[in-house]
Formats: sequence, structure tokens, C-alpha cells
Amino acid sequence: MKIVSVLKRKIWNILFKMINAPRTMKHRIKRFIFKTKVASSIFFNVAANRISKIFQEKPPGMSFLYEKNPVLPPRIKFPTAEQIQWTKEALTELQANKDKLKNKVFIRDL
Amino acid sequence: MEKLISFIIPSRYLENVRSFLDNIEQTISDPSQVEVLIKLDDDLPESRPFIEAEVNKRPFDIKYIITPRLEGIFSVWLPVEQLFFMSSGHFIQILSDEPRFKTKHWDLILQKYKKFFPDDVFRLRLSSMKIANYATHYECTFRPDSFPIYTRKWLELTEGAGNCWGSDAYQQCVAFHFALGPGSYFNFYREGGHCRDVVVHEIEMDGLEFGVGVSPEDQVVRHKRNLKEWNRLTSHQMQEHFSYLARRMYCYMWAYTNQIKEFKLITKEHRRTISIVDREGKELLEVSYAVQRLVVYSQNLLRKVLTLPRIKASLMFRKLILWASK
Repeated sequence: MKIVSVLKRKIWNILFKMINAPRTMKHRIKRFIFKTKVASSIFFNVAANRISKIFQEKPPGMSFLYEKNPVLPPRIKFPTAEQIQWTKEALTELQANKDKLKNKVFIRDL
Repeated sequence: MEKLISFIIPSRYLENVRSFLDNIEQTISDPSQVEVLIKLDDDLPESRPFIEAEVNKRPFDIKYIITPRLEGIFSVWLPVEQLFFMSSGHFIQILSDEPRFKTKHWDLILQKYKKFFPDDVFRLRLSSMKIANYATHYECTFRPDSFPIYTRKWLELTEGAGNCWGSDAYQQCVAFHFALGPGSYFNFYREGGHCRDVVVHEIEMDGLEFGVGVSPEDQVVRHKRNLKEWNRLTSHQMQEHFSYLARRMYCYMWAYTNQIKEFKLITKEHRRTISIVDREGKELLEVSYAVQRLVVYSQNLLRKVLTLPRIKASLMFRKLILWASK
């Protein structure tokens, strides 16, 4: 009971101070809230980016490149070393082609 | 010379490919307007002589690649992307080896759709899903419009056909975000949201169904992979990627409407925006492609809870068929 009453008094004191606080105190509280918001948004953004990197979406049908023990569909043999090498090269070439499209300069005949 | 249409066909069934080529030859009016790009598997020794004979025999252009099978249909997106970069058609259709044209001289009809929208950002819908509408991003994954005809500009702006073994589901997701407009789910008035799907009734095709004649054993595997792929496509990361591609199309259309002669689309990944920059380096427009995490997460969670019993029952049913067939 004592703890509750102490807590009540403390909360009332804080609220009373906040209501009657001089301008500088209000300003401090506002700045504190703003700083907390900024810090938390940065923290959560960084955390979300880290987590999304861990669970990065892998393209389908390429499990033999990403997983140690991939389960392949029935009647399909595991790719040979040459085929894996071919896939890696094909993916690199494809990315280069995609980058070209990404950086394409669009010219329109008016 | 730019062809009217390029067909992209990955297949390992040579008879089906022959039948498709026959169908094209019988139904087209001007063979010089068509190009067929075929992917065959290198584990079939008869592929090369077959395709070389077809190249010499047919009145239209045939380009081909013979590449490793890898994981079969699930890795088919890689050769499809390769074939897209080899193609030269104004329109591009990514098909399986099963569809056939029922309409004669369909190329004359298709010709009329050239510049249907002057900026060339649109796609033609032919399948039984051609009048389907999409209310959530999940719908786009399991019932997309099968085998639509894209303009080259559409696929250039979406940076290729996409890394999904069902390119139609991938592109349907792009079309969904294109309709949402800039601001994504928080664009309540749908300002700048566009629908560029044109329903075509004059051209009829047969065999647009997917996965017909697949063995029960393969069906179980496909079902599992389908679920995995749908989860991947509906993840926030992928949804934001689709939003990015859709905003690229939006920016291109804006530049076209405002008669910008020369421009570039610049992506600022840290701000999650795309901007249009003109020849002088002046930024003309900046559009965000961010997708609200909360909306995607909550929709996915609700969908998983509601569809779980049905999905489990469907999987059990397929396994039961497999057990009974043994």
C-alpha cells in the first residue's frame, strides 16, 4: 500500500510539474520526446534492414546455389559443377543486362 | 527489323514444340512479323538436330538456347529472361508449349493494338482470367492472368520478365501496384493509379490452362513449391520491389505525358524513391515506392490464418491421390 501511495504521489508530482512547468521544462520534455522518436525510428529501421538481410528472398529454382542440402523435384538430377558454373555466369550476365535497363536513357521523338 | 511479336517458349517436349510451330504457321498471315524463341534442355541429345531442322524449315524466325535443366520448371525464369534479352518483337508473349491459336490471321488483329496507348505501356489479356479484378496482393499470385501479351516497353520498365517461375504472377503483382498508384496502400483516393490491362476478345487461344497432365507425384511437389513461391511474392521485400517497378512505369508515363524529350529514371534506394532526371540533370519528379509494412504484414497474417485449413486439406488430398495411384 505504501508503495502504491508513493507511486501515486510521484506521478501526481510529475504531472503537476508538467502542467505548471516553466517554458524551458516544457521545451525539454518536447525535445526529449522528439529525440526518443528519432532514435527509436533509426534503431528500428536498422534492425528491420538487418533482419530482412538475414531472410533475404532467394529466387526460386536456385536452391542448389543457396542451400547445403537442397531437395530437388523428383526425376531431376543434381546439377554438375559445370552446370552450377554456367548458372552463376548466366546470373551475372542477366544482372548486367538488367542494370542496362535500369540506367537506360529514354529518348522520345516529339 | 522489329517484329510484331516474339513468343518465348521453354520446353522439353519436342512434339509439343513442333505442334506449336505448326499452329503458328497455319494461323498467321505474315510469317515475317513473328519470332519464336525456344529454350530446350541439354540433357536431351535429340534437341539440337530437332531445332536446327525446324529453323531451316519454318517461314518465320526461330532463335533458341539449349541450356541445363537445373531444377526444371522452377528455374525456368532464368532462360526466359535470357530469351527476353534476345528478342526483338514489339509485343512479347511468354508461353508454355501447350497454348494454340484458334483465331486465324490473329496477327492482323494484333497489329491494330500497336500504339493502343501512345506511350506503349500496356498488356493484352487473353486468358479465361482476362476480366478478373484484384483486391489484394495475394490474389495476384494464385490466379493471375495466364500468358498475357506485353509490350516491349512494359517489360523494359519492369526490368525483364521477373525471377518467378510463373512470370504471369510476377507481372500481375506489378500491375496491382501500378493500380494502387504512388503512395501505395495509403493513397486512399488512388491518385495516379492506372490500369493498363486491355482485354482482347477477338483473339482466341486454346490450352491456356496451367499444369494440365502433370503426374500426381509432381503435383505434390508443385503444390509445395507454389506455397513457398506465393509466400515469397507476398513478402514485404518483394511487394516493395513490385511497387518499385510499378513506379518506374508511372514515371515513364508522366515523362511521356509532359513531353520530356530525354530523361533517365534514377533510383534512390536509401529514400525509396524514383526520380525523373532530364538531360541537364534537373530533377523533374520524385515518387516514393515505399510500401507500408504494417498493411502487408497484417494482410499476410490474416490470409495465412484463414487459408491454412484449406491449404493443408488440399495437400493431404493430393498426397492421398498419390498413395492411391501407387
